[in-house]
Amino acid sequence: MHELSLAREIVAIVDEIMLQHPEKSLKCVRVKVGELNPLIPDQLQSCYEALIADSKLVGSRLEIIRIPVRAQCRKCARDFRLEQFSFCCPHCESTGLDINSGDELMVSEVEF
Amino acid sequence: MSVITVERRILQKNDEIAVANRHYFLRNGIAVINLLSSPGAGKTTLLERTLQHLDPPTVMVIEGDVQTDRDAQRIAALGFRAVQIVTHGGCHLDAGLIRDAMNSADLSGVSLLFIENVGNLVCPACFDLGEDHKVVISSTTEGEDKPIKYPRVFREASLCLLNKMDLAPVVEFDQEAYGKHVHAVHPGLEIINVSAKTGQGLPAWVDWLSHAQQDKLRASR
Repeated sequence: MHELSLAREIVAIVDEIMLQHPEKSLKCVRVKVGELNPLIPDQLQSCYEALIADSKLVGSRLEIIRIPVRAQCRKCARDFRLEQFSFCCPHCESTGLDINSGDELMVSEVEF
Repeated sequence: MSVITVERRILQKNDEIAVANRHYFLRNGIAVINLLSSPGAGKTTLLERTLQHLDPPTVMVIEGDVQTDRDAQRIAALGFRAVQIVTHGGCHLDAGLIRDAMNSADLSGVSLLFIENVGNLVCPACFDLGEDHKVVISSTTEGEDKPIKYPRVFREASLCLLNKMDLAPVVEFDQEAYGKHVHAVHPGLEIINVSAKTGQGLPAWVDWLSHAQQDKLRASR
């Protein structure tokens, strides 16, 4: 279950930010997760909640923003959303694609 | 209410260690192959067969398992250096575990390092260890649809080994469908059909490894 490893890293990043803002109380952590990442949002939520139970992050919520996979075809130059991990242009069937989004795995922002 | 923009990669720490591992391997001319498969696809048996074609002083194996050091014992029994990482429940290896394993091992004379990851087609694909290549191993007994069920690992791989070819007729494995599924998620990915039991495909796989070693040696000069 790599969601636990990811939740630990998220908490470590947020802990660092909290050190710079000791007087503030954390409301929300927003993370961006591209759909190329095999991840179960509910499990990430549960892990986050378990990890912050006895910490200064307690009471904060984790908001997971899923980012769709978008690609551009090198042959016909069209931009499209990639479905079902089929790395093929739906317009001209070329497999030469540039992936423009969907690989994200980052702490985007925190809200106090 | 105030919002602070962070925009930091969640796996930044892992990736930084992976970069350091990669520098170390490059400096020392060590080609690193990260082997990924589901449990029971035949990773260790295939590795044992592969090692029969290689020179013990030049090869090391890092074994990753949830429990036991059985795999490292199997490799050591063949006269090769082996380090076992027991993850105690962890579903994948990360760059820090590899760094720690390297620190405790004697890598002198090694030019090829195999990392046999924890048997799992999901989590290990997400963690960069500092390797040159991820090689995915799937087997005919698992069915043709593994590539589309677990696309990330096939997407990340530099090579796909299809193992247990000796059992393909028994399980009526549809190789054409398998190839289509692999290439839907990773167009152009090379597939080598192998059998750890009969030795089918081993020369092509060993040849591929030899090219990977030569590439690394050239890059390290």
